[in-house]
Amino acid sequence: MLRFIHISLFLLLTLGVRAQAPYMNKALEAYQASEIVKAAGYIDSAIANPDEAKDPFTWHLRGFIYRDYFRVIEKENRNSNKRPIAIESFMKSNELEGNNGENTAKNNSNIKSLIISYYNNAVVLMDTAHYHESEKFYVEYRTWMLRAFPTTDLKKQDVDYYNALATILVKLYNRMDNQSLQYFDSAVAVYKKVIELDSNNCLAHYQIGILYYNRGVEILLGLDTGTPLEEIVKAQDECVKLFLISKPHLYRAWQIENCQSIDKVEIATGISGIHYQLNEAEEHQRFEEIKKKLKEGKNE
Amino acid sequence: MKRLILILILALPNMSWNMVWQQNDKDTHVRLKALYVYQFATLVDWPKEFKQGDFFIGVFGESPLYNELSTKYSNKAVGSQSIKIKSFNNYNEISACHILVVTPDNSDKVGDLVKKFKTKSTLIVTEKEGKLRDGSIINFVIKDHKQSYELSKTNASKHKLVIGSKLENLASKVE
Repeated sequence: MLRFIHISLFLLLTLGVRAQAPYMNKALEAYQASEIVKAAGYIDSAIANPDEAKDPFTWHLRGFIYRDYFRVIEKENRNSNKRPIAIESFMKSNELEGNNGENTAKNNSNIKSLIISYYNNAVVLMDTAHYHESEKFYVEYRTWMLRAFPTTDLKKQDVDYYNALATILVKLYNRMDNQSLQYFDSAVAVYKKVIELDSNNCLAHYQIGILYYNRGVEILLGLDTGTPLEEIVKAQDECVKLFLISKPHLYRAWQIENCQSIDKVEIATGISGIHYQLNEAEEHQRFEEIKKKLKEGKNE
Repeated sequence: MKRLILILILALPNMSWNMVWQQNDKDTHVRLKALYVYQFATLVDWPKEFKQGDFFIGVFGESPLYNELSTKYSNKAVGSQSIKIKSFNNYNEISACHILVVTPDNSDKVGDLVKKFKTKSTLIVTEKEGKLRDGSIINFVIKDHKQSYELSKTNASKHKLVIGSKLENLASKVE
């Protein structure tokens, strides 16, 4: 933790004390003495003073003070309100300086690292118990990133993140408890979001295909021995609808070249299965052969 | 950005894609056929003399249907009759049953089976197209991607069997 302060001090000592900036000077002094809370109080007074608020360095210093408040005093508490203050302050410093000012590089580097800390929170929270919170931090991350660096392309990260989120929802769905269907719908919605971002994402296509396939199979396997005839017919109607939704997604995954996230054998197994369920014997057999050849090729 | 990548790599292995693929030992086709066979047993009316003793369901030919029926339906009943499941591999060993399911491989024997059990009120169930013409009473068919069945009331009446209205209404074809 002390390392942060040492680095910050090293950076700031070179800048010297400003005349006509009483609060900022006091803030700098407190910060140099590692009195971060006190420094925060002075720097907030400084930005309330119109003369000091015009100085990009005031905001630059405020960024450091609040960054260390977040990191050292609040021990990177993910819900800390000091982190956004730090980012805002560095951004304000940039805004007042214009392009390529004396603090721009340091401001940007701090902005980036603070924004990335939101992403890291999102990744760490990605589990079945905290995925809602994870998504909140991911949204924070991308919102800040696009605000601070509007030309950033987040497509790949969005795809990776939402694929991972959907996987968590699939895990919850596979628990097969009372709330399963809610997770099924959520997982499908997230995978569709991935496909909207990247129509060639074979993992998302495959997963949607398998989700619908498995749901249909579960319905059939769940039929009790005494199920009345009309219920058997009804269940099959429902399953055929599910299988027909699954099929084009599995085929799409199959057609996508260079699909690295899913083994071709797995996709062929899925397609073979869906043809089986739809009573399409010839196509089922064809994909059984394809699957066999793929497996033989792997073993050679 | 390095830290971000590192954490991602550390976190993602815990997020296996985790799809559950259904195994072949849970064959839905067999499951459905067994469900239908049991419904045939409950929705067809046999003559009075066949409503006593055990209720026999036979499977002629090798089929996973036998195991499914044995495992799940042996402890069930049709009315007051306990269900017993039998498996036959040779034509000559086939004894009288209330329901006899004939596998596709043995469907050329349907004509002979009809003659053999003419007086026994055996509900002959087949799994091959056109078998109603050979005397089968219920034939499993695929319609609109679904497992369905067609039935012949004419053939049923020859065996003194009365097809229930529900069974008739939900058939894909009635002759």
